[in-house]
Amino acid sequence: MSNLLAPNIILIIGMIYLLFHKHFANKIIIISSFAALISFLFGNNFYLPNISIFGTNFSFLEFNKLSWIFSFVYLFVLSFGSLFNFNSKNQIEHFAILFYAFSAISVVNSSNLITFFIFWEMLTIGASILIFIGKDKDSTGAALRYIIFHVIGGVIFLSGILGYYQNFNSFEFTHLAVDNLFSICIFIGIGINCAFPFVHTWVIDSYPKSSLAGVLFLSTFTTKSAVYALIKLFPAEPLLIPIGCVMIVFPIFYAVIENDLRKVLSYSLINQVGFMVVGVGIGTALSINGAVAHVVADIIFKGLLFMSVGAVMYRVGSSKATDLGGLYKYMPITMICCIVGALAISAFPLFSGFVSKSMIISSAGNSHNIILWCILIFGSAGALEHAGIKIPFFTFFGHKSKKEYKEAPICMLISMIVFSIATILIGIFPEYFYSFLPFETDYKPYTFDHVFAQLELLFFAALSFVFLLLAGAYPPEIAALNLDFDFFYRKIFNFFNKSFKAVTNTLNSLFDDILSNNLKNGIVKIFSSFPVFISYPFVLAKNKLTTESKETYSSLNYRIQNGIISTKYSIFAIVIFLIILLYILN
Amino acid sequence: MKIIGIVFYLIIFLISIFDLNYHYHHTHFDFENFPLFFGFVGFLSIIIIVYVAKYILRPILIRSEEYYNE
Repeated sequence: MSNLLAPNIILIIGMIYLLFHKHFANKIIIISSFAALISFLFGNNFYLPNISIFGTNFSFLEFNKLSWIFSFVYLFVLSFGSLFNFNSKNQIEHFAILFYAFSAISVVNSSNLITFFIFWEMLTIGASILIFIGKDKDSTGAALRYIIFHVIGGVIFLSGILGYYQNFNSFEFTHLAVDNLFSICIFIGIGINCAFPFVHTWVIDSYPKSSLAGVLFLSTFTTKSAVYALIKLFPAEPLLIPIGCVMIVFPIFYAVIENDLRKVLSYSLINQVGFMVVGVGIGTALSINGAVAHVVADIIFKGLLFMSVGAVMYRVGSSKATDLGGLYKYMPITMICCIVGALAISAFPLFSGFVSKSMIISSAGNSHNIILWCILIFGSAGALEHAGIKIPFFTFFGHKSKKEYKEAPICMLISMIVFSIATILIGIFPEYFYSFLPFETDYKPYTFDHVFAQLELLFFAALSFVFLLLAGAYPPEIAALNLDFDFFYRKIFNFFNKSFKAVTNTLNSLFDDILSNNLKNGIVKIFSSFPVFISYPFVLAKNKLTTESKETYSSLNYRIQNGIISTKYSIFAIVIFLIILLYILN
Repeated sequence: MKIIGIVFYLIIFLISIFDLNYHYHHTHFDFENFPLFFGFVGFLSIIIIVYVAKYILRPILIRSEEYYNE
C-alpha cells in the first residue's frame, strides 16, 4: 500500500460528499476521517497537485518528523472525535469539523509561510462555526468575538510575514528572534492563537460556549498549531520562558473558583500550553522534544477530559459543578475514563502526562534556572488540583445526584475508551513514543528518583486537598462568573460603545431630519413645481377671463407657495453643490 | 470508600518514612534532598492556591452570571 490519496484530499472529498448528503453526514465524516488516517499511516507516495503562484510552490503536504507526529495526532482526534460526535444530526457541525481538521493538517504540513498563513486563517473559520452552533445563549456573541480576535491576530501576522519577505526575499521557514518589527508582528500573531497572557480571553470566552463535541476539536487544533508555529519560527526564544510561566501560574487560581467545568478545562488548557511554551523557550533538544511530546499527550488526555465532561453534558444537560455530582452510580465507564484523563494530566507515573511533562521539567532543571523549575513544580501540583481532582470529584462524586441518568451512548464510550488506552500506552511504553519525536533522545522518565519524587508531590498535594475538604475550607461552588481580561473589552468597550451610540444616534437623527427628510422633500417639491412655474403664464393667459382661472390660480399659487417653504433647504444645497463644483473645476 | 481512605493514608505514611531515609542520586538542585521536600511543596502549593483563590481572587472577581448581558 504505497500509492494512496493524500489524507487532506480525502478530507476534501469527504467535505464535498457531506454537502450533498444531509442524512448521512455523521457516517460520511467517520468514513472519510478513518480513510484519511489509514492512508496517512500506510501510504508513502501520495498523489498531490502542485500549484505555483508568484513563483512560490504551494505544495500541500510536506512531511518531516515534526509535522508527521502533529498530523498523526490530529487525524487520530478527528477520527475518534467524529465517532464521539456520531449522535449529532447537525450537518453544518460535521462539515465544520472536517474543514477545521483539514486546515489544521494543512497548517502543520505547510512548506512556506504563505501557505501556512492561508490555512492558519482557515482554522478560524472552522472554529468559529463550531462555536457559533453551540447551545449556550451567548454562543453567537462568543463566535463573533472569536472571529474579531483572530482576524486582528491574522492581520498582524500577515503584516509580519510581508516584512519577513522584504527581509529574506523568501517565504521559507527560518528561525527568528524577537528583535525587529516584523518578527514582533509574527510573534504577536502566533501569540494570539497560542493564548498568551492578556490575549488568552478568547479561549475562556468561546470554548465553554461551543458545541458539545466541537470543544474537543477546538482544544486540539488552534492552540497546538500555534505551538507548532513557535517550534518552527521561535525555538529557544528567551522571551517565551516568562510568558510560559505566567500561562502556567495564573489559570490555576482561576480554575479553583470557576464553576463551569468546561471553563475549568479551558483554564487548564492554558496551563498546559504554558508548559509547551516554556519547553519551546528553553530550546534544547530535550525541551523541544518535551514540548512536542506534551502536545501529543495533552491533546489526548485533555480530549479525554473534554469528552467525559461532554458525555455528562449530553445526559445531564449542564457542565456546571453546581448542577452535577454523584454520577458515579449511573455513568461508571465515563467516570473511569475521566479518572484516567485526570491521572494523566496530573502526571501520575504510568500515564502519558508523566513521560511528557517530566522532559520539560528535567530540561528546566538542566538549565539550572531555580525560579523556572519551582514554577513548573508548582504548576504540576496546581494541574493536579484543578484538573486532576476537581473535575472528576465535582462531576462524579461531590454531592448527591438529583435525578437518575443513563450511561453515555456507546459511540461516546468507544472513543473515550480508545483515548484512555492511548493515554496509558504512551505512559507504559515511553521509549516507543519518544522514537516519533523530532530529535533523537535517550531520556529515561522511569528512574526511581523521579517516580518517587513525583508520587510524593502528588500524594501530599492530594492529602492537602483532602484536609481542606474535611475542614470545609475548600471554596464551595457558586453559580457565578469570574472576571477575566475580557472585562476590558466586554464592559469598558461596551460603555464606550453605548456613549458613542448615544452621541452618534442623536447626530444621526438630527441630520436625518435636516437632510434626508426636509431636503428630499424640498428637492422633490422644487422639481415638481418646475412645470408649474413654466406653465404658469400660459395657464394664466389661457384662463384669463374664466371663472375657473381664479381657482386654478389659487391652487397653483398654493402649490408654488408649498414648494417655496422647503426650497430654502434646496437652495442651500444647490449653493453648496455649486461651490463644490467650482472648487473641483478650479 | 473507607478502604480507599485507609490505603491513601498508608501510602502517605510509607512515602514519608521512606523519604526520610532516602538520598536522591541525581538532583538538579541541592535542596531537593531536604527531607520530604516534594511533599512539602505539594502540600503547601495546594494550600496557597486554594487560599489565594478563595480569599483574594474570588471576592474581587465574582460577578453574577448575567453580568455581561445586563
